[in-house]
Amino acid sequence: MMTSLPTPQGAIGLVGFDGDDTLWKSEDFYRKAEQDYLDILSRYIDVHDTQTARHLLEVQQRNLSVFGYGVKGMTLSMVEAAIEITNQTITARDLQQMLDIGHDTLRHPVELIDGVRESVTEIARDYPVVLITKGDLFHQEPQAYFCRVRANFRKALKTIGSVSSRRRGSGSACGPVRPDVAHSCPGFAAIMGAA
Amino acid sequence: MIQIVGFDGDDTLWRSQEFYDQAQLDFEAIIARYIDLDSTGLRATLLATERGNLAQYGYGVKGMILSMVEAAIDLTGGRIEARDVRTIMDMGKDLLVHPVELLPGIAEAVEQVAQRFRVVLITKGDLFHQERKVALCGLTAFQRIEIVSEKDAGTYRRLLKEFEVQPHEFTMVGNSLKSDIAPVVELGGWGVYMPYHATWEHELLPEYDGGGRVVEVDGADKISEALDKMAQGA
Repeated sequence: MMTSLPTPQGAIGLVGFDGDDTLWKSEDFYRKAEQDYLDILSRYIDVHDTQTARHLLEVQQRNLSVFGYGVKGMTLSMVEAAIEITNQTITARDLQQMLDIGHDTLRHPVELIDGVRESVTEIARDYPVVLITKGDLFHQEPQAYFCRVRANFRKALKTIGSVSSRRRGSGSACGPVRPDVAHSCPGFAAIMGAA
Repeated sequence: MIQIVGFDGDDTLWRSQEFYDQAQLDFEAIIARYIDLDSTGLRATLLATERGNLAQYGYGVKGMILSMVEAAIDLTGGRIEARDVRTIMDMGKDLLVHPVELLPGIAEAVEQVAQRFRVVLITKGDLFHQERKVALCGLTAFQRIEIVSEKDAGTYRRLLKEFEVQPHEFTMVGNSLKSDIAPVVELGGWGVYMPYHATWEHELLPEYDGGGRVVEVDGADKISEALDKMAQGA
């Protein structure tokens, strides 16, 4: 656990917020999708075997370089993994249900995490705040829009696939705010040209 | 006075639609093993599925593959075998990693235009796939790269505000009247329409009249000349 951040040199001029699981709930929906996937597969194989869930993760990881992050990639990986692990015996009807998992996940309402609205509003009194979120552009945009309206962002930065490729303005005075600091900081380091 | 020239990506800078068209033919060949339906009927069903899913998936290959799988299940009444679904998926993956092939003369044209105007790239579709193409295309003249989920008047209005130019100071170069030309002209901008030999049905805009603000060119080497014409009218 990180107990304190090093004191930045000079005043912080901009505070960036991550989207998924920092401002709004996301992982819960992915977990639900994974459970639904296992429920469908239970008609074919023993889903209590931890290998089944691990296999899906392996397929998702190997596809990451082709699909990137997001629900559509997850759904495609589920279809691929299901075909693979059932030795191609899965029926088309059950594959359609995998597609439906994707539809359901894309349709879920945006739920802000408790306290986010107040916290962003408070921080926004002292600093300009921006939203920096990664993943599927088409899915992130409505979530970002909702958040912008509900959590009083003055300006929402666009979705990015890889942080370093969308450098904007001077990043030398940015400070990340995210529970998973290890994941966020390299991204900010990239913006700052220090990675 | 034109200040900024925007370039579209797919089928303006690099080849795209013909890869989708080939995927469509491969898809039809797979479905033909299950049902007796002509190409027109298959296409209509797939297009209807894609359009139905557009609001949820947005543009791009991943949404196309998901729609193809859905349409395949639907068209075959649930009889399609898992191995054939896998083939459709692999086809889609191939599309995502195909090499980026610039269209003839476009690299020179962009360089030439960049000597006179600020140039930006405005492309729509799947973020991850578009970023890959931008990274691999080798074109370095663009001052900004904008990957957007939709190219409508609202999107262009927002971008022009960010670019700090007025609509009449902006020209968009692209192959789609619906996405590249009409919304820009609607705002008071200009268009260089460079049709590609293949266009997705969804992008067609029959009988569009650019109201004297659009110049059509038949190749990348004519873009600079078209901008000259526009400058005289601007």
